[in-house]
Amino acid sequence: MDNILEIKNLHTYFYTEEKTVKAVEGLSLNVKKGEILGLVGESACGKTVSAYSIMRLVQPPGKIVDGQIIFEGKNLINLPESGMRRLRGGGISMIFQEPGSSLNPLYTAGFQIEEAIRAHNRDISGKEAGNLTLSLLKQVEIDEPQLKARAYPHNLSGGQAQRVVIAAAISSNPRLLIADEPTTSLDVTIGARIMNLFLKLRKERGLAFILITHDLLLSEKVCDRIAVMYAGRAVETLGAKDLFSKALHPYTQALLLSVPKDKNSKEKFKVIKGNVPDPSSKPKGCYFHPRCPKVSEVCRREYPSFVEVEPEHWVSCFKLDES
Amino acid sequence: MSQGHKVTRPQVKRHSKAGAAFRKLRRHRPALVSFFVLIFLYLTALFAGFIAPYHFDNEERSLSYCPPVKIHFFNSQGKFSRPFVYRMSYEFDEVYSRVYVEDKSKEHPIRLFSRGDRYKLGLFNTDMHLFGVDPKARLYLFGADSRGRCLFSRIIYGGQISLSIGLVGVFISLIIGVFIGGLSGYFAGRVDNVIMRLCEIIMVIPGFYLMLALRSVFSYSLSSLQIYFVVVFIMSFIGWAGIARVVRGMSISLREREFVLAAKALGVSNFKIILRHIIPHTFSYIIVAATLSVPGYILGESALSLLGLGIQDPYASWGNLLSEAMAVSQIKFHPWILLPGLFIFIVVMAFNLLGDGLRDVFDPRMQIGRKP
Repeated sequence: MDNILEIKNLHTYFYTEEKTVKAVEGLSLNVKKGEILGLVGESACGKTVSAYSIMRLVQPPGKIVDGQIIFEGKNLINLPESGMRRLRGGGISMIFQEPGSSLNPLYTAGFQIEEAIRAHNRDISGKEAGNLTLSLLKQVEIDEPQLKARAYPHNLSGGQAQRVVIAAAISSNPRLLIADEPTTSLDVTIGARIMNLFLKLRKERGLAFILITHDLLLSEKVCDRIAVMYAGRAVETLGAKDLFSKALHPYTQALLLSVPKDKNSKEKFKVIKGNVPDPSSKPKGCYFHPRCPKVSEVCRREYPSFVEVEPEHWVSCFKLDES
Repeated sequence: MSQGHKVTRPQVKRHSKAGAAFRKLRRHRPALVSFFVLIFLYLTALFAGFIAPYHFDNEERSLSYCPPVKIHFFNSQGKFSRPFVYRMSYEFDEVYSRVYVEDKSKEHPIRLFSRGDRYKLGLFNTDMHLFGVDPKARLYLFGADSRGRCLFSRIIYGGQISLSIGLVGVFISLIIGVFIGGLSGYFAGRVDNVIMRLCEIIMVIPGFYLMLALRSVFSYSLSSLQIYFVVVFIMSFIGWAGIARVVRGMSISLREREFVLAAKALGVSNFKIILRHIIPHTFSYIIVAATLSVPGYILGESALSLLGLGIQDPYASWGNLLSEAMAVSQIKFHPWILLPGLFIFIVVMAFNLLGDGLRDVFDPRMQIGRKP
């Protein structure tokens, strides 16, 4: 068992009165033990919904319609809610984009970490929980942990709040941490420190990560592998170090081109024309074809299958030979 | 220059929400006055035995419908003296109705801490009253009712029932309403549908008829304590639905907040999420709603008791005291028996003003007619 998490053909739909929004449609991914997988893509391409699906936190009217999510050999789709509750925080944890609003303003940071501890260890004494909280705060390298444990969320800066959230997330020794744009709302240096913390946690605890991000440069630096999502599907997965050199899918290439490069190049930003398709009415054939520079007749008709072009490098595109 | 840097640690101070609220309330005059009026009235109800000069059941038939006694400050020689009253006695006028006159032969001074009827105050069994006169005369400040009982004392004792029913009733319906509303909004879907339809059924039936119908479920002859709880039960049974609906609405929007999702992602159970992360965020609404709904309970109790379905004589509540004032002729000849109504009015008014003030404190957007 090399993979800690395998997602097979996941479909998550949102049913509204007038239409069905197919947020995730046929996503297949795997995460290896102790690996940092970057999940990149434009906004509204289903990254967050995929994360919520793994946690089984999709709220009605959303529903996981089809597929398998296999975590440590267990299929989470048909796990009862009580088992899922134990798994959340205990097996897979998730942290959210806005660290400030992930904390309840009414309680101290310490209390909220203790709450997470108690959710998985009911018999722990108050003193033990307090000590564990302090040691967790030390592990996430917060300054003055004693003081911060007693602080309310409005007393904490964004970076400190994110550290508190991470401390709560790792409190019950999960094996996988899903981080949904953990640094988007933080400034660059603080974001970099949080990334360093992730690397440290992986080293110390063997924690695997799914890192959802827009930032291709960051994902190339931090991640081991990168999965590119488009319109609810993974279109390409490859090793992070190959991202800029070996990316094959036209969408990945277009994304890479829109990363600002050096000052002197004439065209500073190259944008991808058009928008991510409306998830309730996706185009026929390959979802990317209306925006694809290499579009051909077959792209308009069918969706290309996901093929392994070289070890650990999967692409779904018909026009591989030309790239 | 050479002085070392003073290391200042960031002060982690608890935001005292209650303290801030009270400071804001101080600027809201009517609410503040109402607050102290209510505290005063609740204190008199709490120490009713001590403050009332007579026991609520102490009757003097010869003083039926005796008007309020006059308190005199000048004695028969026209000299200023300590306040005193005269003994009242009646004569018949030409149509044989009673006319009360003062017996000026003897002055009965009002004494502080005088002895009178025995009563229990907590653990103490005592006969000490705040004020009173010697037993030959009667200190009927607000006059007497048909059986010659001191109306002032009965109003003070009645406050125990009328004022506490409001609080107890609101407390019970709040607990039920907040919990069910929180549950309903949090789980949404079918649970929510069932609970909300139930609330609507309770709410569409006119409250007063529902109250009468529920009262008829219980036996007519109950002990006064049983009646008290029946009345509380009836009022709470009707009252929780409105609270549940609003809390449900808040719960639906709170459920989407990231900290609720974050708690769920950490494996915190639904029950604890509702208790710790949903309900506490509805408290500022709850305080206002509770304050504004107390009058409804007081009026409901009064209405039941007025009809003779609530608290029974000889026990006093403001509602059953008013039941004597149902006939116009009574009001014409003995207008003082309307005084319990004045107390109901004051309390209802005070709760409403206080509730308005609290709403302004907790929700500045709701302020009407004031510049932002």
